Amino acid sequence: MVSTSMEAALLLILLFPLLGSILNSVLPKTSDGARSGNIASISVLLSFITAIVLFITHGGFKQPVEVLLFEWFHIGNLSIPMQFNLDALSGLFVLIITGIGFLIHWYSKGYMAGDAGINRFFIYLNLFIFFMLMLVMASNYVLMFVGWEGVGLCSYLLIGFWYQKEAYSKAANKAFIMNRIGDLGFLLGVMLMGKYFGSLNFTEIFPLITDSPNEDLMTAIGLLLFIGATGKSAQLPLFTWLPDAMAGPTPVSALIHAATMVTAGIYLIARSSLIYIQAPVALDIILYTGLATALIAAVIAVYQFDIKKVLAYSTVSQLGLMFAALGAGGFNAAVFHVLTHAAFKALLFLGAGSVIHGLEGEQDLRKMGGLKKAMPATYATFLIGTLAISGIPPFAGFFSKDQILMTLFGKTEYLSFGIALLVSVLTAFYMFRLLFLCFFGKSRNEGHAHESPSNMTAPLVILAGLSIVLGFIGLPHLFGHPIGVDHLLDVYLAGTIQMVSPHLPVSQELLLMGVTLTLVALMIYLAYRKYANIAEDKNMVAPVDLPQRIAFHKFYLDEVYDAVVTRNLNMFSGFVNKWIDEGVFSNSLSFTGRSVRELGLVARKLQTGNVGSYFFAMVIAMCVILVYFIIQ
Amino acid sequence: MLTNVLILFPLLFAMLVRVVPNKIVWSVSLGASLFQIFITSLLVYNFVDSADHPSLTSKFLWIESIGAYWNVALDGMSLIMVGLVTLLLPLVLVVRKNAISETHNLHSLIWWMTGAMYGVFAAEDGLLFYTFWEFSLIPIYFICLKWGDADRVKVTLKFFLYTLAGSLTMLASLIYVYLNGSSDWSIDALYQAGAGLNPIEQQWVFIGFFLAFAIKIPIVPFHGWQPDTYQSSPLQGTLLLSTLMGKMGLWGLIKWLIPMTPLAFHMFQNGIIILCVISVLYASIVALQQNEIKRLIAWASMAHVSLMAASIFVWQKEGLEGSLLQMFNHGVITLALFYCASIITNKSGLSKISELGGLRNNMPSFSGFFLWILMASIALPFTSGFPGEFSMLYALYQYQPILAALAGLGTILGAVYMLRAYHQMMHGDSKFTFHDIHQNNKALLAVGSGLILLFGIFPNLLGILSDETIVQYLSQFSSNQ
Repeated sequence: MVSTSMEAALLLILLFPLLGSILNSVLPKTSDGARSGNIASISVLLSFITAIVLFITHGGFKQPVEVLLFEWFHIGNLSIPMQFNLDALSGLFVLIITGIGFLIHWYSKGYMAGDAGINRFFIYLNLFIFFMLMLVMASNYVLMFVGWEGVGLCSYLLIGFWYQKEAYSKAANKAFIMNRIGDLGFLLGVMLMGKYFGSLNFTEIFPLITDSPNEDLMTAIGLLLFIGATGKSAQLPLFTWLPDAMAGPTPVSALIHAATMVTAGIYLIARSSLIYIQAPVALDIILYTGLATALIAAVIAVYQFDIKKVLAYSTVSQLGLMFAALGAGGFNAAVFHVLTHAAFKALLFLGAGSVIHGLEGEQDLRKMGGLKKAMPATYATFLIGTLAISGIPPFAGFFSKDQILMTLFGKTEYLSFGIALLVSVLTAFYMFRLLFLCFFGKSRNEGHAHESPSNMTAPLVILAGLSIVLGFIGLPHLFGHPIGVDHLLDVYLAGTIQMVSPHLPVSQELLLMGVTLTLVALMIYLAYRKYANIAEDKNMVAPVDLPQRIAFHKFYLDEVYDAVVTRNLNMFSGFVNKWIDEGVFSNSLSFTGRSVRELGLVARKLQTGNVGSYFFAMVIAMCVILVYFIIQ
Repeated sequence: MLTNVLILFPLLFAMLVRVVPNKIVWSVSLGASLFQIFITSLLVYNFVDSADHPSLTSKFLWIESIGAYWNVALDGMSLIMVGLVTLLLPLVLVVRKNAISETHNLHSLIWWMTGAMYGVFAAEDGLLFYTFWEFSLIPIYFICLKWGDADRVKVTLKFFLYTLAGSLTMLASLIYVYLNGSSDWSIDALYQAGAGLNPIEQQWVFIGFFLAFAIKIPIVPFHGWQPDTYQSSPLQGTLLLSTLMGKMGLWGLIKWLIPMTPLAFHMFQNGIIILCVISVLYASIVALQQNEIKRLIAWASMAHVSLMAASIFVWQKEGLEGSLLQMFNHGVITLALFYCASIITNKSGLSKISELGGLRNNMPSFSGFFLWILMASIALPFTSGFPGEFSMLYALYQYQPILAALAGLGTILGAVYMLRAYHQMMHGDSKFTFHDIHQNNKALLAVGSGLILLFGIFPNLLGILSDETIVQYLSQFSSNQ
């Protein structure tokens, strides 16, 4: 039984950020923006606390909490209710969104201090949290689409936050439009479901799927939804907007373009796991798309010099790994990686933000170096984040990545296991390259670096703590079983999503871990040799030989899209506009227009603008027609 | 009876307003529009009370010799259109332009047109419908001709020729149906007579009607008049044309064309839906090239109305519900968009998108409203643009998934041309020195934005009116077939 107080609490989780956003919009602006920062942070904190309380009092959402507000609209007999739902999966996402979200709001108070648009910044940021919560708490696909588009809007607003810069505003457009391409797939998938199931509510669709399996239908739905996911979660072929999205303020990159919004695609597919287990073809496509994206993005990341770009490609690559896990049926492994990734990637982005803040806006790794001393807190926490993402035990990334690798291995997909392993190894390389370039060696920056204020470093410390401990909720069988705490997260998620829990023989598992760790250690060593002692930035020009240049320019994907899609579309629309519309329609019309005008010179005497003459003409015309019919 | 007041008061007031002194005409006219709001609310109240409420209908003999009646009736569907006219009337009247000296003339024409449009949506008699249809054309012609820009004479002539051509073919069709088996001009008699025609005759009648409606909506390739006319007209003219007149064409499809020629409809259905989808894509693709703000909105609007026509031709509950929702909301959104365009043009003196830039620096609050309205135009959820567009695409999907996917491309292209224009006009460094919009403009934009939010979250406010009617309306024809 769900009590009304629980329903109210559920709604409060949603409403606090919205209220924060509204409050900041109506209250008069203050000069330093401190109040808007406080309002925004507190509203998210309140959501987080409410979520925790609900989580505890409701036994971890084993029983879903549902609230039906009213019918939003309906299409024929298909009703779309305004209905929200908290279960194990959405509960976990709510905790990530509000928890990490609060830390990033708190951090932003320091980071954005002094910016003229700080008030606007917090309005957008709160609004983002509201829509993100709506995305995961929606109990039907259309309402989920509201959140889906809403976060897209906020992402657009925040990427183009500094709208005076044309390039930033263009990046915002690119993000919105590429997402729209995916969204069409999402919508078509939703329509297909509506057609066959007569409902779009999760609780009504999923039983129907189990009762009457239909592989072709599930494959079609699965693929269409996945198209939506490739847009939002930056997968091939739609990932090129995410690196450009780094134009937004760094806390935005941390919150939206790393920890939360970009994982919406994973959420969508995990939420629909019942559909996907009946669609092996769709899963295979997801698996290989994920792997291809992970590998390509990891290769690109190795060659980037912008600290945020490295992290952006790293995000794309990690998302690719999550999709690979989904494709192998390891919905649980993907969600686990979403959780740990949210912590350590937010940490890394905020750390990068702290560095950028300390160097007064410098983002080029070639102009950093030796910051270990000047920024000890940032360095220490960044190191933890790097260790976590590189998959070093006992940091969080180790366990979640291990579970993904095991899932792939357990499925005896040796090729995909090999690629995933390669991606993990590359991850260690480019992340330590970044760490060494940034914090080691001699300073290559003329400015005087300074540590960030405590309201920025405190969130870093908390996130670092999370990057250490979060992995333990998904201990593998090997370590966890003897003490009875293995795969806690899987136990928690059981029944909400489909999952695979690979059980390899102990010797095999140890061997795989050993191989992975050895390779990772080797990469760290290589990165150290190459990047830890660079004194001058002379040696680090953009790469010259062809393969490297291709990677540096992200395989020229943007150029290819521009040549194939944008330019052709522009040419085609130019052709249609000039030759068809103006050429055919307007010209033939001005021809008729001219001839009629000449005729009109005669008829003009009738058309004096006198209303009566129009009636007269009308009556005459009517008479002619009537006479025609009568004679006939 | 109340329906008669609704239709006749504007026509009467159109005459009265001519004698009101120019100084107070604006206020008097706005005040009178409140009266229409009152009447409309009363009608809606009565309808919700009982769908057969006597105040909703009126019928008496008009021209005995040819069996024409003054026969007007409002149901859930037409009430939505009447509501739209009533809602937009004050928003059109409120536009104040210094250049317009003869406010009372302009307002007289606007009121005249309003009365005629009420008549079009309420008419249950073929001749009466045709009369109102033509009656609504005359004032808009004069508005464009008198207060338009430099090209107005040429453009208005083109507009007039187009609509006249459509009107004539429609009249021919109407008379043909009447002469071939109809006892009088009432819509039910015409339905029966039309359905009784042989397929060849029905095809010709269908084509006659369709031309009139397709030109008015407009659907490619009958659109040649639209971008020029929208651009040359004064703001009030553009608003009336884009938000209300196009809806008369869509209404004609629902109420007159499809029911009257059922056999021809089945023959043409597929072809016309395909034509409408092509029209969506064509308009979206041409919109990519537009550099004039008003023309851009005109093309965007064409893409939207084409989708409405496609969804009407699916002739299912889902499609009609979606189209009616969208006919209403598209009216509000398009009005707001043109209003924004006129603010930009008035402030900067420029109307070319490429010449503008950085306006967000000058007009922060305007840019917020503008973005929200623009998002409604590209159907962002929780704006009123979404429920209708989703329903229409859904209906189209049930008919033929490929067509829905193609029409859906319009939503992507919509984001491209709208955001590109917004980027060029609003973002970048400041180029101008003027300041944010006046309080009055803010209030107006706030009303428009509020309506967009209201009907985005509670689209059922409109649904309650039309749902029952649509079900009854469609069942009436399915039993005939």
